[in-house]
Order: sequence, then C-alpha cells, then structure tokens
Amino acid sequence: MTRLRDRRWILLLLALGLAACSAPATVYKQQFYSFGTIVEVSVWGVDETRAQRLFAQLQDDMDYMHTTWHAWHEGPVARINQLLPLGKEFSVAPSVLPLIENSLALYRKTQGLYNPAIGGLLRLWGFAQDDPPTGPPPTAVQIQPYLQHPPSMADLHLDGIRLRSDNPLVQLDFGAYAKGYAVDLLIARIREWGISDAIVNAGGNLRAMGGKGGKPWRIGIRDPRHARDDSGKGVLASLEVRGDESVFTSGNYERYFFYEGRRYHHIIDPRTGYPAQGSISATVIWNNGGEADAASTALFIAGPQHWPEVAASLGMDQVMVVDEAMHVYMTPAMAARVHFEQQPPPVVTVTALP
Amino acid sequence: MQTSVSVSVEDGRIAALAVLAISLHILEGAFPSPLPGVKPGISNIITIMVLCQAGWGWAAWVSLLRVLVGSVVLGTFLSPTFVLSLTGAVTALTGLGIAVIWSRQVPVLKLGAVGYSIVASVFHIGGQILTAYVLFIPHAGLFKLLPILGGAALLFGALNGVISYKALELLKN
Amino acid sequence: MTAGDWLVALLLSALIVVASVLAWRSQTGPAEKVIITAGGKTVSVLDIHRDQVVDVDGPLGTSRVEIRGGKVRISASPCSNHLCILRGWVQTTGDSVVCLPNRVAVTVVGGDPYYDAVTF
Repeated sequence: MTRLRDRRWILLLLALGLAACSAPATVYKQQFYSFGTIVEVSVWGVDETRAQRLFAQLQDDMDYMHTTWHAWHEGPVARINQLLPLGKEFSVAPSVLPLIENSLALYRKTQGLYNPAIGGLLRLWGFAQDDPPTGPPPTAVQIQPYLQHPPSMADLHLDGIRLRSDNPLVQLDFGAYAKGYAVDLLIARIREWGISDAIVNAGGNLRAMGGKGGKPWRIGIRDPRHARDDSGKGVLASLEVRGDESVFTSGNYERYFFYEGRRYHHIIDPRTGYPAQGSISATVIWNNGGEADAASTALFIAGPQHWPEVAASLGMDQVMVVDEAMHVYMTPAMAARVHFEQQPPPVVTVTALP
Repeated sequence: MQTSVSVSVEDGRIAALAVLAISLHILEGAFPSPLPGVKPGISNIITIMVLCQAGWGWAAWVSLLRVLVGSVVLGTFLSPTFVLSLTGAVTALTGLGIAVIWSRQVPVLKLGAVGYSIVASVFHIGGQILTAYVLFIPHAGLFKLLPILGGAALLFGALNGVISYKALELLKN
Repeated sequence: MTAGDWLVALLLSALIVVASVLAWRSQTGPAEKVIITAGGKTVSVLDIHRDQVVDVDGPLGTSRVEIRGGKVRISASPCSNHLCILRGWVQTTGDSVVCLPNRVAVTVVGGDPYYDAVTF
C-alpha cells in the first residue's frame, strides 16, 4: 500500500514538472476594432483560452463605451447634445457624469485648451465621425460664430445630475478624453480577472501594467515624420514601462485630409477654430489614461513655446513635444527615460517646468 | 577548553573524491572549448561514481564542494560563471534525486551509471540555460542554442556515463 | 546499459528535440515577419525578407499589401482618404500600418529591437 502511495507521489512530481512547463511565459495579443480605431490588447502569463475569453469581454466593454459616449451616435451623449441648445436644465445619464466632471477639471487645468464643448466645431470639420473626412474644410463664415461666442466648459452648470448650458453653441464631444478613460476601465477590468501584466493600446494611446515575467514592457514612440514621407525609420525613441503607466501621444498625422493641396489635421485649436499649428506630436506619461489623453491634446495645441505652462498646471512632469522642424522639447524627467533609436538623434531641448 | 575535530573515514573519502573532482574541473577549465558553453564536464564522472557507490547525499556533497572550491581556485567565486556553475549543479542534483527515487520505485526500469549521467548532464545544461536567460541574457535567441547545447549534453552525458560505468567495473574487480 | 538508461536517453532526446523545434519556431527570433489581419483576425503571416504582393479583403473591398526589401506598405486601398497608403513603408518591429475603414492591419513582428506596443 505504501509503495502505491509513494508512486503517486512520483506522479505528482511529474505532473508539477509538466504544469511548470505549460505555464505560458508568452505574450498573447489580440486586435479588434472599436472606438473608431484599432485596439490591441497584450497579456502575459495567461493561458490562451482564458485570454480569448478576456479579449471578447474587453471588446464588448469597449463597443458599449463607444456608443454610450459618442457625440453623435444615438446614445446618452447624443441626447445631451440635442438638449443643450434649448438652454433648459435636464437630467444627465449617470454613465456620462464622470466624463463631464473630469472634463470640467481638465478644462480648467489646461487653461481651456482641452475643450470638449467644441463638439459642433469638430462636427463642422468632419472629425467627429469614425472615418476621417475627405474635405472640403468649413468656410470662415461657418467658423465665425464659434470665435464670436466661443463655447466652453465654463458655460456648463452641473448640479448633481442636472445640466444646463448658457451658450447654445455648446456641444459635447469627449473624443480627446473618452478613449483614455475607456483604456482605464479596460485595465480595471483586466485587473478584475486577476491579471496584473497587460497593455491596452487604443490607436497608439496605451496603458501598461506589470511586465513580462519581471521584465518591463518596451514601448516605442513612433517617428512623427514617418507619416509624411519615407525618411523616418519608424520608431523615434523607446522607453520602458514598469508598474502601471499610461503613454499617450497626440499627433497631427493620425487623422487628416488634403484639400486643394493643403493638409488639415484633426486637432482643432478652440481659440482659432482651425487645426493647431506648431507641433507635430505631443507625448505624455502619466498614471491615469483619461487625463493623459486630454493632456496630450492640450499640450499639442499649446505648442513648442507654451507647453511647459500647461504641463506645470497639470502637474505632469514627463512630457515630450516635437515641433514641425523635428526639434524635440522635453522635461528632465522625460529625458531621463527615453532612449532615441535613430542616428543621428534629433535636436533636443530639455526644459524644466516653471 | 579543548576542542577536538574527529575526522571519520567517510569524511576523508569524500574529501579525496571531491579533490579528484575539483582537479578534473580545473583541468577542464584550462583547455579552451571550441564551442562556447560546450564543455565535456568530466568531473561529473566522479559525481556519478559516488552516486552509484555511496548514494545521493554523498554525491551532492562532492558536487557542491567541487563548485565551491573550484570557483575559489579559478577565481570565479560569486561571478556569473559561479552562479551558472552552482545552478547547473543544483538542477543536476535535483534531476539525480528524481532519478534515484524513480529507480527505487520502479525497479524494472531502474537507471545505471549511463542513465544517471545523462540525466545529470541534461538537467545541468537546462538549469544553466534558464538561469542565463533569467539573469544574464534575457533574449529569446538564447534558446536557439538548444539543439547544440542539448545535443552536446546528451553526447557528453552518455560518454561520461560509460566512463563511470567502466571505472566502477574496474573498482569492483 | 539498463532498460531504464535507454528509456531516459530516449525521453531526454525527445525533450531536447521538441524544445529545440519550439525555440526555433517562436516569433521573437531574428527572423522578421509581417502579420496581416482583417477585422482583427490574422489572415496571413509572411516573411518580410521575401518580396511579394498580397491582396486582403475587407468590408470596403480589397487592400493591397506590398512587401519589398525588408519593408512593408499598403499600396492600394478602397478607402476614401488613403491615410494607410500615405503612411508609406514600415520596417520596425512592433510598428504597423492600419487601414481603419477597410479593417486591415499590417504589423511587423520578431527581430530586434522589439516593441511590445507603439504610441503615436
């Protein structure tokens, strides 16, 4: 009898050995289309069937958030946009409240450069749909009202769940925040599954946590030049992410159209009504994805001269802005982390925040 | 107060065998290997002989003593070489432990010197590759060396096993 | 040699062969590949060093993927704005060209330096 028991012990040992071999020390990746972009999820140390189940759930979550928060698809935000011009107070769906509340704070901290109240203007440009427009750009006459009575988050009055706008031009488009917020919620969902090593990359805006078996995730920052000609070598710089961090970039090469030889990109400066000039990309590292998303847009609009003020106001000390001459501006904390992958490396100015 | 250290006959025998193993280890270190990472591991002949004659416990002592003293003599103590050497020895001993239990439980398929030597050699290189990957070269390209390193481990494991076997036969007569 | 010796030699040889095959087949090696997906599903995995042209079907029609000289691009697309074509050639591991309207994505994998994700 004891002999038999002992043999079972050997079997157990063998089984343990096999189990150790089959524990997947690999990264599973899946792409899906949601939020008008391609979402890529990577997980480490999860077996394949579980990963597949997780990916399916994340896609469902993401699709749901997309319709819920889209400015013009039938849903709670589209309903708000129908009611806002009436100037009366109405109730807001609770699922939209965090977006409004967080956006109010970010609007103030970015000195109005992140302004989700210009939904009407974005729609005029055609950048509100999932598919980028082909032009023509709006006329000066069409843009004029948005400069005369600029819609802003300061026009909104939120009391509990009751909302009202003083300015009939206010239309909410959370396009510069919702994707980041959605990435945050997907990361939270992945955590709920007991998984601590993952990346969620929604169209080049990503949040990464954990790593690959103790090794950090390696993140590339795409060369902004590469979108416009073949001179770029793909990746401008790399950095390693440990713990839990978001890396968000706003670039003028993500969505644009040509019309009569001129190029128009999707990051509209609320002060001019036209695509922001000066930057070609702005990258920020920050823990919260939604805030990083709005911040990268605001820093892009602030441009190579004024980004440090906005970064300081946001309390973000890891920022990189690239101007149209491929000159790179960085905070010292950012400079300490990025490694340029190109020879010769670009011209860099390291600026301490005020 | 007086302290006396008694040296048993067995202690002495282990020390002698360990010295022999260390000598072989150092001798091997003196010759450059044609392929980096590939070494015949002739000191394992001693480990296997001790295992067959005196059991796993003695073999473990000889093997670990060899790693420790060998590294001090070669000046690699606590260096990456030492770490690799130690983890190789520990995984080899683990493999031998499993093999010994196996032989005891399944007498029909019990191992001889050759089998033990192959187990030790393959476990040795397996442990070393994993350690090298985790600590020193975290690049998947390392595993591309598996056919060479694994093949060499099988070959030298078998060769050393045959030598151990012949040596044990000679000792018996 | 005992029967056990033979068994052990056989088992461990098999183990090394299997492990070697797995190691050489894994995609993180120096051999670079191009993964083409349509609607999130992988439709083909191609060697980036073998010049070829592949047509991929999406909801709008056929996108043409061209591999030449270790680089890859989308050279023809049924989408209206052609951002994917304007993106040009891609050759860095982890980088990709995406045609959102036609749901076609081309990603370079394997090789060094390796990126787990790219921000843009």
